[in-house]
Amino acid sequence: MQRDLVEAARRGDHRAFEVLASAAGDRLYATARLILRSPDLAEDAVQEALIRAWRQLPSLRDPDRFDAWLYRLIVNACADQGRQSKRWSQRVRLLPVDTTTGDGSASIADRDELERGFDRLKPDHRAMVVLHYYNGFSTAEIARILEVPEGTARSRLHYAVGALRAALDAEARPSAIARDGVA
Amino acid sequence: MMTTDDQFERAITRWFEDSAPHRMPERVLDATFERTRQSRQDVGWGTRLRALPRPVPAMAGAAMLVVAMMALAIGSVGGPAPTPSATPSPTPGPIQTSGGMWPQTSLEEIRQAQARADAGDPDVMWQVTGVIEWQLAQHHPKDAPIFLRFLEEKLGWQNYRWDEAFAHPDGLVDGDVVYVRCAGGDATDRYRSSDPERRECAPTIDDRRYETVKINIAQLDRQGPGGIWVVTGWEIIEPAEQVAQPSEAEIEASMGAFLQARIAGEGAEALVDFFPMDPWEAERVDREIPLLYATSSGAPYVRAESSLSEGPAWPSGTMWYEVRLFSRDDETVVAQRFSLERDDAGRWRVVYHFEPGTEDGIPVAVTFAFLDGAVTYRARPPFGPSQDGYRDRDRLAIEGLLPDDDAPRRVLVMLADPRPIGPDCSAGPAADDAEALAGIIRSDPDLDATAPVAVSVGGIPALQVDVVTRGPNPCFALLEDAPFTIGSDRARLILLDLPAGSTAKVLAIATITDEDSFETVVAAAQPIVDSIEIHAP
Repeated sequence: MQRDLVEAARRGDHRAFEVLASAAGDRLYATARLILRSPDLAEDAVQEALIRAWRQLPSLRDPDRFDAWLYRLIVNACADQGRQSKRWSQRVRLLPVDTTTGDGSASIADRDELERGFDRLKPDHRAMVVLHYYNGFSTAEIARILEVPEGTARSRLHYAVGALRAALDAEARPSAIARDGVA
Repeated sequence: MMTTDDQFERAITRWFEDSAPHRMPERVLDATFERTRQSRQDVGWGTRLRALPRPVPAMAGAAMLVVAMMALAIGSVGGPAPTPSATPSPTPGPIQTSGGMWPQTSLEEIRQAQARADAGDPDVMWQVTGVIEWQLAQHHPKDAPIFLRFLEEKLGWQNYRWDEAFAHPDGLVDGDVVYVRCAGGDATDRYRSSDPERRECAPTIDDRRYETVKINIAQLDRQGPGGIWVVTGWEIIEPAEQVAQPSEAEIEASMGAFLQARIAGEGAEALVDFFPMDPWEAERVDREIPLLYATSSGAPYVRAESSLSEGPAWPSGTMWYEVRLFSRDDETVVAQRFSLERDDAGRWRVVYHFEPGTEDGIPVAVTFAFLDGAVTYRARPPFGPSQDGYRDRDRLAIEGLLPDDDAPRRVLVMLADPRPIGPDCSAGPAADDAEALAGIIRSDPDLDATAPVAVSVGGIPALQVDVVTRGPNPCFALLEDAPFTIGSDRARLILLDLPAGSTAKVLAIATITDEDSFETVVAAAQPIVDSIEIHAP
């Protein structure tokens, strides 16, 4: 069914494209919003990604790669949105932090650290983290989505996670120092 | 504090799941579709180079696909019946030209049928399935059973087809779908198509015209999923017509004359039309066919060849020709593609689709302009100006397909008076000159930049700086509006001062890409950089 829609959209069928875009919209938006941390920027990114998808659909060789291709477009659109903002942390509206901790896997303090650490990451590193931990893609799948060697995807994710943990450690350090009375 | 990888991963996954929105605001899709409905798809070189054999681009249909509908209303009744080119399928029963509701004939019958469908009665379930409403809105039947059964059981047609070329005669309303009836055998011996099924539809009225029916369906009882569909009415309409093939004389008068004029060195312009969609209309410096009368070295052509590479496409008759022109002693061969299409006046015309072709196997470069013409450069297909929004007056991306890529990627960016990104990630004022800009970039603690190397671009001295990020750089760009791309870990910047009086002071030429692809992308961009010319005001 989706293949039929993709092929129809490739031939210029607006309605087919709109069915595809409607089906993908929510997950693209969620991905964009996590990467960009801003509802406004995420909406713009989804628009740009879908418009680019429409325009470039004839260049998509394999209709079965449509979903992966859309992810690539949304990641690049997020990057472009980031380019247009002067500084990530200046324009983002921070997402609300859920105060319930559920299974205890993330305390309020951890989430606060995560949020601030994540804001410090470059957009491509944010994308790696979101694609892996939210969308559930393996590094091999991310490599195919972003069309980079798998080793590159693996090293980037490793770097992104390392940078995030380093940021978290840096966030935690002043309080630890204060707690320990060393400062 | 999170101490283990497992704790960290669970925390971030949970955080994402809690933070991610479940629904996108509807206004986003509304705004998107408003733009896509007014937007054409790209039919640039990159697409075309991979699309062989290709059909006529969809958007050409409205302007160029000639689907003549006879002004004289004839059908399978009335008037003398023309002699068909092939034997049509027998039509049982009395001949009709229109009719009403089918298979039910009243609303009461429809309600009863709906009740049976709700109970899963297989005798009526075919009226529920197969109709795809968004396709029906485009007058596309998608071979839903109700159409097939109507054509075969009610009209007695055994061979028929729905085709985009015939699908949109004037006056259609919601729920209308148009089919043509086919006789056995190919449309004509001369029609060719990459899709064999499209050939196997010979006309039924004479050697060009097809019996054509318009069928309307609707859900007259319950609408939406589970509602049954009925034919509300049908009508034999003006016959659809396949385009008559050009004669040898017509081909000679169009394509032959065009090639002869190119050899003669004059008059070819009047014998060719330009395809109405030029993806680079704003950037193209010369809207002309490259190497029209001579090779790049100025050698005139002494002979030409052409060969039919695709088509005639059914039913438009469009044909694609590979053209080769030779200089003296066949020293240089220019190869280009043109189509031969029938225009609205019924003339066969050569059409140029902005494919510059090759010269001795090398793609012919095209000249483009940037910054109001202050900068020009040449790019060989598949490289050209970006077809997304990154093509403003003072910023431009050049993109194209690299080997093994599935979509175009940016290989070069030009920025006029770019603003440098400071250590706090905010954009500062534009630098006064290239040297100052290089100094600012080198002083950024988040960047590791090489010492500027003197180079020349378009005969103007320039500075080249290679830049990598140093650690987890919190900024996202080297320069304001320098595009961020996934893995933008390495960049080559060329900075130069534009001539006095220009509308900008500094031009930045940047290749920004991931480390793994850097050398490949730089190599792809280099011929474009080498072709840059700076024009004094």
